[in-house]
Amino acid sequence: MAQPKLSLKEKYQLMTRGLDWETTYQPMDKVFPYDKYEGIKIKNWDKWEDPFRLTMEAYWKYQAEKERKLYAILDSFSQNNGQLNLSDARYMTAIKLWLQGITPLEYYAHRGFAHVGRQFRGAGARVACQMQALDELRHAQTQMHAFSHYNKHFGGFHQANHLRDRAWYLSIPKSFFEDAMGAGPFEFVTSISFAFEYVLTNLLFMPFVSGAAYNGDIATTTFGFSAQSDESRHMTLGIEVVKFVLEQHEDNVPIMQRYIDKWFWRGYRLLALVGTMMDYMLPRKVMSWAEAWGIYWEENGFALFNDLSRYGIRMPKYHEVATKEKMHITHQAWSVFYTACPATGFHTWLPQPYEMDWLSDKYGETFDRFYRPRFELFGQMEKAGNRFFTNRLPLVCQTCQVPDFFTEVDNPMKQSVRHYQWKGMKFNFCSDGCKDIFVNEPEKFCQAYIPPQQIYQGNAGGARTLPEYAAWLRCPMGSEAGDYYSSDDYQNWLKWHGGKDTTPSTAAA
Amino acid sequence: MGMVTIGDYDFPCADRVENYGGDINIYCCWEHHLLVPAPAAYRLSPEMTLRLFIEQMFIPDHNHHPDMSHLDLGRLRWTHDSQPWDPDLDKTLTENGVTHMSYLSFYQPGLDGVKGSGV
Repeated sequence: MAQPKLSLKEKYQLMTRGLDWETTYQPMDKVFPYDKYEGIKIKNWDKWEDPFRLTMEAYWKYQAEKERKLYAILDSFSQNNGQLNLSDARYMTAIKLWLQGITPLEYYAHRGFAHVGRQFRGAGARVACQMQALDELRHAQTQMHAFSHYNKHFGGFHQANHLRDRAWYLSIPKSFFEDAMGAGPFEFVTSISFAFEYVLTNLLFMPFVSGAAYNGDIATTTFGFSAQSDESRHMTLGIEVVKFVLEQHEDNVPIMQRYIDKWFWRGYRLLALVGTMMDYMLPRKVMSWAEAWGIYWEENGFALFNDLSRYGIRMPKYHEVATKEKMHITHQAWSVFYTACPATGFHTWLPQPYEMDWLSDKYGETFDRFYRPRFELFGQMEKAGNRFFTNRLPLVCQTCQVPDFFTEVDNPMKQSVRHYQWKGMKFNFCSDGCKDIFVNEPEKFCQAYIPPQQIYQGNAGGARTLPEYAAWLRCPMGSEAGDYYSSDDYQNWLKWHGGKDTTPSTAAA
Repeated sequence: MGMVTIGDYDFPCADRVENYGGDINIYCCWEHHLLVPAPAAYRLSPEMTLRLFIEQMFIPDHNHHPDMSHLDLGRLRWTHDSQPWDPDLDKTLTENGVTHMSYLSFYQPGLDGVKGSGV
């Protein structure tokens, strides 16, 4: 007689936790040396709940099925010259930034989860982290494959690894993940699984994948769908980690609160890049950064923290600053990219007239009073044949490593900067949020590899000026860097469209 | 609150002044003029006078700005690390108390950028 089939729950029990054991040759504390030093107290690892109850066998099956579909569509996209159906070649800047900045983070996430997937002594947490480590590796790989078609047709795609190591703007995402990976396992999962994947990921994935769909990028849209079920598993891990730790011991609450404060702010600063993509790099617009912040943070995020208040967790520190800044940061960040693009691996441009109208519509008085005059002045300089580029390195925040383009929340004309002295040395920051993070861990952040400082110390191939630095990046003007409308990408795009400029005249898809 | 670590944790600062070959790194910002959208970093000799820095380096970097022709070095209100500051332009950076990673900014009353937008 055939054996009755195991239920999903029994299978999960046998194939994950049932494989675990208490070590006897060596004490458990020696086998798992990292999961106590942060001060987090776990009384009972068996309380860990995994709502997905995924076994390795089922995991391989699901993932293989998704790969088959994804690669079939990528092949067809490539064979049909799908790049010709993009809304406009300006859109490629968003994808270049993704490949250079975000894809390496997927790989970092793989390494980070592989590490904590070894270090937690609870088998449930270990298995969940190990699966996520595999997901992240898969995402890094499928993103590279989805974008590789564009490498045949556009600049900026052929040396993402080289740029990751050298480009100043990529120190923003890189330092974010290196900070997380340099922390203890509980801080790592709080930073990546909770603050980033659970609280903020919708601000990354929703606009990005919808943006791809709106702009005719089937390759990226398909990748997004293929990653979506993994992302929902990651989000579940994020909320499970936080609730589990908070329920285990009341002493964990202040430690978790500090992690949440820190990583909400660091994640928010990183997302300034995504907001800028939404408002400035997508020729066809999905929604504005301010709208996305309203939906995904002010509505969903507030509800989440309302729910967490029963554990004694309050809203992340400085969330009200982030909400006030929503009307400003994308215009400020685009100004930096616009003026510094000779030393990047992508092209920038002035917003077209339909985009200026869209920005006025979405940002009203704020845009018209503070940012329209800036872009109009840039426009006059372009017309006079004097396209404006900055020729100096900027002040970069010691914590988030974003060039300090931020202004005071109550005075958008005034530069925001904070200072702190530690062991006789001065450090500068973009905000109170970033300064607080430094003050908690000066020993860590004093080691930050800040690009302008490294360049001035001679550690960028000896470059001391921006043109020398751009040469070290291997990003010549035209093919890789500089203004879009004087780029090879634009010239090729015209050629492929019979000389016709396809710049949209409306933001709608 | 100190860092919680698994062992001894003591590493040198990446940007200590010894790494600058006798120079210092400073930042300078013209308040209400965000056309250069972030304060600029400069590697300078601490023996340079503040006037030389402003006239030979900072002003040329901002020459494209329509307000530049109205800049009057005698009317500037300075801050150093965001505190009010009364420097002597003809003294050196060191004599003026400027040190490695100092943040200098100045504002000229009445100059608020293009159309008063702070740019």
